[in-house]
Amino acid sequence: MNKDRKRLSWDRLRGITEDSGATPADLDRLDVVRSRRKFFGQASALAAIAALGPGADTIVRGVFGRGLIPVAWAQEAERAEAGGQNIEGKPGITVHTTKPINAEFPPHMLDDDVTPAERHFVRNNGQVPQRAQNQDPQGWTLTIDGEVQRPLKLSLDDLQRMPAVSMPLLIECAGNGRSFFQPAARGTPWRYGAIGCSEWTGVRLRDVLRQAGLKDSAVHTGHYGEDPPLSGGDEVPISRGIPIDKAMEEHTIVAYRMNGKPIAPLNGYPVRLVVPGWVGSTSQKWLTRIWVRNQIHDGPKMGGYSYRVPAYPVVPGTRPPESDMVIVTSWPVKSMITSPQENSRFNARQSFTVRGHAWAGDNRVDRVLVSTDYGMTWRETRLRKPPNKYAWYGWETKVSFPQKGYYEIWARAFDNRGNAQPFAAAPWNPRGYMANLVHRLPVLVDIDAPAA
Amino acid sequence: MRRLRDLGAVLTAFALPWAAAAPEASPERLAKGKEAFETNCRVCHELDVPKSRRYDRAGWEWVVDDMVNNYGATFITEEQQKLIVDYLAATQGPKPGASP
Repeated sequence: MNKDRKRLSWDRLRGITEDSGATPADLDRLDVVRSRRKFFGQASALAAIAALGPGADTIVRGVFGRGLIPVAWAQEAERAEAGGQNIEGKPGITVHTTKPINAEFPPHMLDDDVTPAERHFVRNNGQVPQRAQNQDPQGWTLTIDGEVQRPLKLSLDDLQRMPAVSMPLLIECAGNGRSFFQPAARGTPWRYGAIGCSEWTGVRLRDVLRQAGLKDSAVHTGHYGEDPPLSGGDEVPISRGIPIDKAMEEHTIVAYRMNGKPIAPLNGYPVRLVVPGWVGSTSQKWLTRIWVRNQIHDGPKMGGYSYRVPAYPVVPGTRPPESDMVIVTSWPVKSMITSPQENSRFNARQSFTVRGHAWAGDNRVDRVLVSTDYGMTWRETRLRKPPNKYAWYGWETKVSFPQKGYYEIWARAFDNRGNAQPFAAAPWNPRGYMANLVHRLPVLVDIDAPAA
Repeated sequence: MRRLRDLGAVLTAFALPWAAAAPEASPERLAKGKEAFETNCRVCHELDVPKSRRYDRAGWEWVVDDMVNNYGATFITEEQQKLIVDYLAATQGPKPGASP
């Protein structure tokens, strides 16, 4: 056994992996990691595997056999390909694209209960409006029209004279976690960070709609912003909407402040919608018009494969007809680990806190469990209730590892309806929406504790 | 490895009729594809958008078709579309194992 472990060469590891039914993609990944194994330093990756102790082969086989590759290896390959970019006002952000701007933060930078504006992700469909860049509200108005008795045109002053509410509320891009779908789903390859829970101040949308007076024919909203299209033409980059019930829900707000200050230019200055718990695209930025509809809104990115998933599970990599696609709404139950940081190093038997957030869209979070042995055993965590049902819950627990080795901390949340996070991004869908898989966070225990 | 991936591509093409199997593009064709890609795609968005993605040929065909028919890039000729797809399929093919 001992001798066996010493001879656990890359070739042998590859053999085990192949024998255990790994896909060609898994084997490719292993080869990539083999050529770029910075995480473990020179030639120590195998030491880390061996350090898993007696039965290392079995564990490795078990892990790979389920198509689960140690997260650190894959991340390392990923990072080697990523370039570094900066965005003003968002230090430390990971930039996916610059036109349009799409950028997120790594999980450890989202540790706060209330996400600072400087750490709120950015997902744009068009360009940033000039008014937002200048932070000058002059001339801005919000139009409410369509299926209403009294169409309105409100200035920022008008809005600010109405009764205001302030609440931490979750906004999460529908594509958050898209990079975990296999085969690759089309769109920005978000990891864990296209989410934020800032404190938003504004007017309840229902107060605005009541002032306009909804007609009986009102069934849906259609949202418009002033972000110019990428092409520089006059087409609308994105216009999505929500059913009237969600629009009338007390946490859906027309926001003009973010964490007590004017909304950051990239996050929707001067006014945006916040439709918490639902896919982020419903929370229109740079809002200028709400068109109340007598049908489900049909603006750009309401149809086709945009923000829609198959009505039934499909074979990964296949596209069902558009007529079989349904609109995504509330996020399912989800969690993330925000401490420790990915790839942290610890000593054996060193006790440390693992903590993070959990949320469940329109549902409630019931419990969050943590595993440090690839899901073989789980422990309860201490769950903290959020200030409102659309803010994230906090959770934490203490963890220590008996001996050196490569480990992963896994977090899995359960909602009040008995739903739990799946272990893979599933069901697969063509545009990679609603990935709520278990968060896997790699850590390395590289110093054995002294004998007691 | 390459053999396995090619086999996968063939199987995919077989299973999905819209994913037409294409022969490897020549260096000349790829150079033309690069030029068509860089001039046309940058009209609306930065090239970091496609360069941050990796899809198979069917995936890139879908993207280019979508850009032309749904995102107003009607100035890209049919021949240019084919060149762009060839170029992206060759340079931005599926990642060897997407990250878990």
